[in-house]
Amino acid sequence: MNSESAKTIANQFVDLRKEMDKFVVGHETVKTGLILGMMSREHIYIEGPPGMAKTMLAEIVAAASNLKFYLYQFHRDTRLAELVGDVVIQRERDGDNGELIVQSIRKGGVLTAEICVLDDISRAPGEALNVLLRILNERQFQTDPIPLLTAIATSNPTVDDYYNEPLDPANLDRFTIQIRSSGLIQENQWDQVQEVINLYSDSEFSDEVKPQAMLSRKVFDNAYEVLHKVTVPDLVKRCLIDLLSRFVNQFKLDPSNSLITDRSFLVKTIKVLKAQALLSGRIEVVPDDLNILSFMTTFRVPEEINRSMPALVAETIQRVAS
Amino acid sequence: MTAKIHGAIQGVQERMNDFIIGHYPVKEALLLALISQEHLYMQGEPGCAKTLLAEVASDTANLNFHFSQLHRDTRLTELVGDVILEKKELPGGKGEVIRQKLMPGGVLTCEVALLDDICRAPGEALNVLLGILNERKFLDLKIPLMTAIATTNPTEDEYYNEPLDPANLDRFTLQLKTQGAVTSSNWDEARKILDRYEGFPAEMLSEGRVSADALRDAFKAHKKVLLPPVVLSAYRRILDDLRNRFGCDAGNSLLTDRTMLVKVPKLIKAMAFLHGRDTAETEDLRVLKYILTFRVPENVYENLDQIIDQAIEENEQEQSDEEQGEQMQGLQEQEEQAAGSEEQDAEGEGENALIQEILDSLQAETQKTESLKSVQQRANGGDQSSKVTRSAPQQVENLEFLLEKIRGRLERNPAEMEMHPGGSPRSYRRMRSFEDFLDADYVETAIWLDRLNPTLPRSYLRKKKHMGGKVIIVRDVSQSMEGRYARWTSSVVTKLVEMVRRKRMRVGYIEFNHVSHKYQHDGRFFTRDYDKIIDSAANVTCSGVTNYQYPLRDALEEFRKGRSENKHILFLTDGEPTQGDWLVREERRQAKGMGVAIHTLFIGTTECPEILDILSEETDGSRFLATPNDKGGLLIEERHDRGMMDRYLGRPDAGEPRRDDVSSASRNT
Repeated sequence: MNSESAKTIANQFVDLRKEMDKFVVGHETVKTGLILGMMSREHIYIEGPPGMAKTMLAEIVAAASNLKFYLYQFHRDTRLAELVGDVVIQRERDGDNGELIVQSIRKGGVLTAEICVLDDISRAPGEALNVLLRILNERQFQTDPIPLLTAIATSNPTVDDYYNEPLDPANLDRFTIQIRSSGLIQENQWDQVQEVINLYSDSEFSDEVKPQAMLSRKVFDNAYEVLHKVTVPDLVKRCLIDLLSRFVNQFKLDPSNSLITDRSFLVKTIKVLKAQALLSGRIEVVPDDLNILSFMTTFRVPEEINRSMPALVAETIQRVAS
Repeated sequence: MTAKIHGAIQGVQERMNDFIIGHYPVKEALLLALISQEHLYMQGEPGCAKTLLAEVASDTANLNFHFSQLHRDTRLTELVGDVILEKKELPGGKGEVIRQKLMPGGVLTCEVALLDDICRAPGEALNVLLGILNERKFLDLKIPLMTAIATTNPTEDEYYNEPLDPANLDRFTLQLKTQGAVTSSNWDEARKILDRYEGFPAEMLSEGRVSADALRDAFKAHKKVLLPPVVLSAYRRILDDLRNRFGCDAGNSLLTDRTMLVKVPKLIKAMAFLHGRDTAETEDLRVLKYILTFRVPENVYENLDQIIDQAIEENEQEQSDEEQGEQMQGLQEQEEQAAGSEEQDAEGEGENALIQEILDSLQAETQKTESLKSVQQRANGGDQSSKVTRSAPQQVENLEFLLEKIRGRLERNPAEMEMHPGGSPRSYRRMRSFEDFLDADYVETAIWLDRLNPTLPRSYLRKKKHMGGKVIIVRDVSQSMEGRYARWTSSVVTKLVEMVRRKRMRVGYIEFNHVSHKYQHDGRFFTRDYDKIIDSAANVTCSGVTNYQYPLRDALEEFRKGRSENKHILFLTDGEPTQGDWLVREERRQAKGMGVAIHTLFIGTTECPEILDILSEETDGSRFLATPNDKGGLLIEERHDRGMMDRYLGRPDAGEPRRDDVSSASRNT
């Protein structure tokens, strides 16, 4: 592998980014998070108020990726069967013994999709969601592997005004990439607000969002293969460990206030770091790539620490490097 | 043959080490479970390789393996097999008999069962399963199951799970808690995990598996391990210490005869066997750390190592002091005899004799120590093992009574469970519409479809834990509360919060003097982070004067934001308002309108301000009075005197005119 193939891959994903820019103004963090997640085959959780283009962005990225797509709208009565296909009652004669009755699932939904959008995931009662745990983590249903690359979940903030329940920590941890976002108006992004108004008042603009299908499963498979080969220098690992030890020792983060799991921070981080390197056309991770940790700490550490992540990362790199 | 068995065990061990860094206790416990064929329960935070460990162990052992991810809608048939309908025509056209039978599968046919996320399944479905685990038979069918490994996340509210009840938990002889490398600050291991997973490890391959027979042989072989008297008497001493020195009783512990007398001796043997010994040593008693995890109070468990050390030491001393040889000699012979025989029955007898021995001596010990214990307890002023961590609530007399009263009030409105289409299936109900077919019992549905009849199939009745109501604790921190009053109030608040925790209600906390201070956690007022509130309540500084208006206004405003049905304010104060509207008329009106119950607790020697009575009475809250008692503590009483209220409200039966002086006083301020 050479850096040429890394550059090719980076360009392919830049195109994907452009396609998103065509329809949605701003929201740079969400867009980057989506691309990182797609590339590293990690799941993505986006939380934000209604009407800020969460679902739209997820749909655009799905359509542009040209993967088998499934969207499920969660609701109060969400049942397992709706997510994974249809319930079938199978009946077979079993010799003279009688009739064998089996309730099984005809696979569909999440089980057959390559990319799925789990819209408004927290509308479903918390108890209902844990069937997703294994599907998302092991990419297996019962014992069969599933073709899923990435699941993108969206949710409104879990406060009382919305009829929803927060994801439980076990489920939340399955979404490696986590993004908090809000609308352009709330963020005071007046230039972008103007752009959106212009875009949607343009008489040429059609209401129908039809992204161009530009990538393919092959592109993703290739990128994932190259991703494996990206190298992670010792310095980066030391920085990561140093940062994690500060979480625990200095900021006193523990399971009661945070969700710092080995799975996410020791296993998944590496993948996302590699994706970030690849996205910049590199085949080696550099310390600055550690800024992707902001995508992981969003709902895993207290808000004030999450806000100071960029400063923390910079400080750690400096300290460890010297 | 022994060499072969140990080779196999080592093989499993090595393969686990290949896949998972660290977690040595889990690995040891898994091996013990496989050798002794006992069930294992593992609790830990997400992402700390619980499931992976269990999978690797059973994969390596090459045993017939069944994995089930338990979830809200787990049905028993998913776990035990499929249903067969047996239909038989009755002669002479008298009809048809339809009988349901089960074709065993899942847990009934496997050797190792992995029950992932066991606490996610509704208790109703689990009861049958756990019965099967215990009896190792289903109806009359003996099942090949060796070990069931259950995993779960911490049993806290935010995980939406239901902790196993003690009876079910006891089916899992081996129990342990796991933690990730990061949260346990194990940076060496963390670094190794980073390196290990850098290149995304390959799939689990079939190589490296060991022969399944070796583990079955291990089961037979471990029974032959000898339990010398010194180990048994040390074990007896530990049990005695737990019961009598550390106060482990039925109320706080789960020390059942089944586990402690039948299973533990087996596991001591397994532990010895695992470490390549054919005679157990007192060191093997450390196996208790995999057994007592959730069976004794946490503070006792933390000191388990010392408890074991001490018992071993004391036991050795006594052994050298006393001549107990003969008695034990007989026992050992019995044991050897049992071990020597391949017959299951003889072995059982041997074990029974052991148990009887432990029981007898325990009983004797208990009688001896009973009187001693009560003396000791009196001297210590209570249970010595219970730690007093926060402010001392025992200074407050009748606190339980207050809690009891308020608990009753909090419970009156909400049902613990409510019917909810997204809840767990708790029982059956009749179908109401054809839409319910989606959630109906599929066997009944199949039968019904064959022969349409007016009785529709049963559908699930789903219920969900009520969100619980909301409680706001409003606490006076004005100057006059300084000192004792503040400490007492803190302990009252602590107890109140703990009670609210059990009711799963969300709670908010306001302190006030002439201003009101709302405590926010992560930008939210209502929280289930009970510990934070307790901590806030323990650290108060008192100053300023008293104004009831602001805190009540704040509390009502918070209630207005949400939609809770069950709203309570617990108002703790020691003085009359000295600022603002003394009669808080506007706030009372609003509270009544919103259905908020205001419970008041007045602390002090002076007469309780009328306004507190009025607040409680009008909003249908309870009223309490706390006065310092002669023991330097606080005595809580409920106030029943309604006369004042009636007079104030001008109720006809009070016979006196309205007390206008109260209202005029407030008008002046």
